[in-house]
Amino acid sequence: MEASKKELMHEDTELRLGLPGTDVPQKQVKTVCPTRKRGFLDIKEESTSGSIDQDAAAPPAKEQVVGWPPIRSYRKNCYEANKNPEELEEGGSGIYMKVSMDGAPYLRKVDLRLYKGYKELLKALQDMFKFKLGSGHVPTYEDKDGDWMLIGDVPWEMFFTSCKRLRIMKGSDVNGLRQAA
Amino acid sequence: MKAHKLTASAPIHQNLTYPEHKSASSELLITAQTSFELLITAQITIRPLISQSSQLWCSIELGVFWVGVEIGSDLSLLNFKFLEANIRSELQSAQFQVPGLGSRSRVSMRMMQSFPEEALEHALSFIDSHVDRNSVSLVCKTWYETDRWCRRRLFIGNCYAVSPPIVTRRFRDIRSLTIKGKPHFADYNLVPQGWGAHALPWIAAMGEAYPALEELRLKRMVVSDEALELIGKCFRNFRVLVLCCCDGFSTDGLASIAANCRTLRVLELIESEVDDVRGNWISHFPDSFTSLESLNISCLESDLPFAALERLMERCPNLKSLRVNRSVPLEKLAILVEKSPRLTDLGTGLFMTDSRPELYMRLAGAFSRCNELKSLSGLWDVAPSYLPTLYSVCPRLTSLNLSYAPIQSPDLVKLLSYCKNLQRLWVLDYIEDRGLAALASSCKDLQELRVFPSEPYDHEPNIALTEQGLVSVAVGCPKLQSVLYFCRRMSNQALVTIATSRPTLTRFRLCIIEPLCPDYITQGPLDEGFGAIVEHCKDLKRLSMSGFITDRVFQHIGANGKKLEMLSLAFAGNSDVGLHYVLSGCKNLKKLEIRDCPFGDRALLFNASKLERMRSLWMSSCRVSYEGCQVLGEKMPRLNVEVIHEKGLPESRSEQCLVERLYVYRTVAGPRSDAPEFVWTMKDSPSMRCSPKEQLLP
Repeated sequence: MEASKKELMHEDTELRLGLPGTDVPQKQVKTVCPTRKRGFLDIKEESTSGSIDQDAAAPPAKEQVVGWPPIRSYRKNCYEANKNPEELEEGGSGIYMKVSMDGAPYLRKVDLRLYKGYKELLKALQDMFKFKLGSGHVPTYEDKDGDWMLIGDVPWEMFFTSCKRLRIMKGSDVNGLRQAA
Repeated sequence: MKAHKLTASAPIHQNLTYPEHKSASSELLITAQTSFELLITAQITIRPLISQSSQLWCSIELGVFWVGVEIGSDLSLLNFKFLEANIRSELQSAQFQVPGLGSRSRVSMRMMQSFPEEALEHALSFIDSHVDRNSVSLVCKTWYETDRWCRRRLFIGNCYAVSPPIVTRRFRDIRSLTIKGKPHFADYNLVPQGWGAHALPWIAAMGEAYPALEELRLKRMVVSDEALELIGKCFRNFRVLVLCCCDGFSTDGLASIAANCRTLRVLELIESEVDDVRGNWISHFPDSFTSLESLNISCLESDLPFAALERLMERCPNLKSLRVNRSVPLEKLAILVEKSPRLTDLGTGLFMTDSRPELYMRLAGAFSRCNELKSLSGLWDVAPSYLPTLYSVCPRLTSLNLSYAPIQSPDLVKLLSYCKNLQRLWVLDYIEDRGLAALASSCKDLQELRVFPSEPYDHEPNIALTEQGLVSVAVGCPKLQSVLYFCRRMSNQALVTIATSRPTLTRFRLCIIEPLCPDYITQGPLDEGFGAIVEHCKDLKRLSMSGFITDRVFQHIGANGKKLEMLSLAFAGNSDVGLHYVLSGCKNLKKLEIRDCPFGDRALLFNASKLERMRSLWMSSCRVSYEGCQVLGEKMPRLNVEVIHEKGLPESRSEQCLVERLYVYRTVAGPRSDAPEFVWTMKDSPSMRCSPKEQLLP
């Protein structure tokens, strides 16, 4: 009985999640709201650490809050189908690569399958991020080995199969890369 | 209006005795010289005043109808007026005007007993809306009986609010049935598997009582293959099957529908989970089957045998709506579109393949011949290079669903620039703020916008879509009524702008992906913003809120949300006061769903009677105690207070024992007999608490 009461008390804390006006210490409120870089999920993990309740142990990497954000299972399944960047299937999902540009606040994603070669890819990147090749921006990519390479160095097919993500570098970083190569 | 025939009978009776006719009211304008009987074979126009929205005039042909006319009345128009339901229990008087006989006048009389039932039946047949029909049945006993006898379309918003025997006892002959099952939060996995909402008992009962049933629409119900087979067996003239967000069946069940429903016109599976077993279900439609008008199988996961689909289409000349699934490749789509240029609604399969100029031309040509296409969806995995094939249909489109298409903003903007007549748009957040700004300037007829997140589980925003996009659309689209918007930041300022620019909003669902996210400018709660929404949007029927909000917002909602019917809350509020404001203030609230809010027993118990005026209440991960649920169950016998507790029900009635999930709904059917082991219905006394094994059969 005592054990189950404790369980419920822990659940109690879980429920609170730092909502204002409740018994939870104010600092929890502060951490949740302004510093949104830390996900709500991180907070939840913190508050359940030390719990003996088995159910709270090791949630999966994504989707720790059941049913949030409120997206229908049907739609979620479609996301999952789109997600896997490693998969290459006939008529199946594309190969989506994250693209970041130094100085730009947002990441994009490109589907490599849409492009026949470097020329088309680079044009698309320039459209997307509104930059011009040669004006201090250099597109690079990270390959399977974790090395950063200049886009265009290797044949397209090799790039296609080894690319993990893209990054449009600026200025001095680029020189460093060139020297290293 | 048809011309009327009117004959006045010659004899003039000096001593009219109409025992049920009292003297006319003071509304009479007397112009005739003597009283007389008038044999009316005219048409009567009937204007029901049951609800504000039914501005319906209908005319009925009367056989013989004797109208007592007082001295001096000038019968120029004959007009029968229904009285407001709930005000009068008996129809006491009516006003009669006969068209074309002269200047306007009115005759009042009591005519309850003399009004032929056939006339009432005929008049009622024009009243379609189920809300109005329900009001009609409350006017008086005669009207209730007439409605029982002649109602053909039935809507059941909660399958457990009533039971199949109750329905079949009341209504004589139902042709169209719509039933909703699980609570809405089941869509987000908050309702455990096996909770209930089984379609089979309903179909079995309908099969016996209403063999002439033609239409069945089910939402969030568990439909088994057995249930589908039963449909094919029981209903000779079955025409419409719509399964929305359902599960529990396989393609075998679909095969039995195809094989047995010879007069089927509509088969729509909307976002349902279908178990795919081997077997070509589409080929079970017999060769003689030609009646199909609408086919929506977009949610099926496996490959569709294209040849069978093609043959089906070829022999169904009335096919107007076709939504295929992902498995249909672009080259096959071209064939489908070529064969049916009369489609009004198309759902594509995969819209991507490598570059093939001849396919491109073929597709573009096929679409250019689709002069009636108004609605486009599907568009999974879109290759931007093929988008221009759609440009020719865009100007006619009123509805466009791009929410599965990972198309980037520039391509989206280009496509949408052709869609000047768009009324409904569903899209992914790839559209970005700039795309929404472009939308606002090109689609002035937009009524509904839904923006879904492309990366809902990422913490970092990867898309340039903020609250600004929604603001542009709210400001720029004068007809905007319905919004569903996922974003990662919001401000009170933006919400106030939206509210003041667009008071016509009726549905506003905002999901800020990070729970408890404050106003990003002030870091404070979003109370003011949402308060502005309810204050300015006086016709708001549905609201979903998110972000950091306190009890203050509920004060606004209770005070202003007079037309609010559905409210969804998550991670909101401070205390029971918040819940109390909502329950006591929102007069028209029908559905309230709450998760992860600090609402407990007090507001719930204090407003217990309100729950009987609502369809349902869902509360999960709140602070409702087991004891509170028991008290509610004891206090309110006409509610089912269902506690969902997967860890097993606590023995003690301690206030500390919080329930995981609570679902409360009004019902005339008592506690349900099909509750699974994790659902407990709170009833009259502790000893009567219905565990699943003890629950009484209806």
